[in-house]
Amino acid sequence: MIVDLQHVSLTYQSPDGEVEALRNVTFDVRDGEFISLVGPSGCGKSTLLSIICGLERPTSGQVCLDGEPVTGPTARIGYMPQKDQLFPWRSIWSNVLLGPELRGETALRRDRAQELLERYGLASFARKTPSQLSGGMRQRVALIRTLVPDPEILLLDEPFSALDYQTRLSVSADIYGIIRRERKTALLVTHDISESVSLSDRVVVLSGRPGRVKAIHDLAALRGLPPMARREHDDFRRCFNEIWKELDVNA
Amino acid sequence: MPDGISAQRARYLAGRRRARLAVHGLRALLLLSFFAGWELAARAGVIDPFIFSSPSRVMRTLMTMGLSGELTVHLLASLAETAAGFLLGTALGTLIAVMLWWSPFLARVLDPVLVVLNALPKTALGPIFIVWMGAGPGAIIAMTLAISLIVTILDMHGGFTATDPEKVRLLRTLGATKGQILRKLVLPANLAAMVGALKVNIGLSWVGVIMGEFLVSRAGLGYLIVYGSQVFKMDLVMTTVVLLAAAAGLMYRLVLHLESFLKKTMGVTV
Repeated sequence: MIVDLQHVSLTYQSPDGEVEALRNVTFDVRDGEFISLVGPSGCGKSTLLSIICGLERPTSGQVCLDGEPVTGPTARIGYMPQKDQLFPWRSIWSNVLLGPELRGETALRRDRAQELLERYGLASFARKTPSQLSGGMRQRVALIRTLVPDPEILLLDEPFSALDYQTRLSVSADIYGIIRRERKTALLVTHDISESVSLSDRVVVLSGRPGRVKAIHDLAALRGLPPMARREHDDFRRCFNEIWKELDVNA
Repeated sequence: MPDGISAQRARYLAGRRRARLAVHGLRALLLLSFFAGWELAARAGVIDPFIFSSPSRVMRTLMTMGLSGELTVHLLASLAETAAGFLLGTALGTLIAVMLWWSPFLARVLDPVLVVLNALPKTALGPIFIVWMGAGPGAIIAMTLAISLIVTILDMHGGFTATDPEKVRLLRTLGATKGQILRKLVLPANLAAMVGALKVNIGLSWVGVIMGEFLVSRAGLGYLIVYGSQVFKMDLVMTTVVLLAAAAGLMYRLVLHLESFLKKTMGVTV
């Protein structure tokens, strides 16, 4: 077990009153698992990621990493944002080394960055700027930037939402492949049910605000299959429909 | 037709060349006909050359001023004051904008001060600067600063606070300190805004310097204009205005060069 969320609640204070964003969220992410977090927009999915990252403190409850409470950002957790957020004024190479540069560890991570760029076919683009790359390649670079500090768990915050449908299918399969190959644990936030079913081992369904855990689905039947094959699988539709009903989009 | 270029491409390139030639040609023609019309109107007696001067009189004045060394003295005085006001305004403005970005509390406290100072006609401060700093370059540079500083602060601070919050979030998850967020993200992301401020400031600095020289000073282009109009030497006034246009254009060109240099080294896309 790596990440353990225990009764996490968060209430925002604003001049207009209190906003309850999360209520008593409890689940865990085990070593090597790929977990998706789905829920209607505004249910506090991104807030939950901020809490796990250590950027925000829960009002009550706690998040533990291997039994240790999270108190601030740590290199053990890698965060991949919506869109790629590559810095346009930096080359691919210095974008990828952003994390170590901030921690003063550039020298230690240079070989790893080079290795990852080579392994995923981006070594020849190291001196290019982000604008010279396609959307899918930029997403790969963003993932490598997250992988360079060698985190144990990756938090993916709707990383494919800015891509068009075609690109999205291939990029999500691509990113999935890389995460599996690097043997990382992953927590993906998404509002796309088919994306969550095609990628994860388990799906955590959150309710609308305040966000609560409504159900946790174990996709045992689909485990081990690549994303594209899952979409063809008989169980895909069944899982999709179950989650769809729980999300209760019309209510 | 050169090798490797299709007929279509060649036609396209030729068309582009023609268009560029036409633009440059018309610009030159416009300038030329302005001066020619001015000269002809003065010679034909349509306008009084004593009041409106004429290009030939301007040329003559330029020659005598150039030979006597007056030209250099006045031009250099104004250029130095403008450059000083411009650089100080931009640097100080950016520095204060950074401080306001660093402390949103301070920004909130100072907001009404900035708003009032921005709305205030800065020329009203001219006499105060003269009393405080004496009738000299000090007062003129203070005048220039008063005009360009507040706008710079407001523009830069606006840009800083509008920095993509998702990128800030990414840096924070990577463990960045506030200073690192400033250096690695906020400043480079706003380089385009800084160059924009430079461009605006170059114009504002000239306004400040000429205003200042109108009020005080014994040297500079603004002084020449005021002196010339007081003793009714319109040749001198017109010559100075022509010089001023040339100097302002030249300085703007310099900023454009600086911009392309910064873009190349930082790879910033505007």
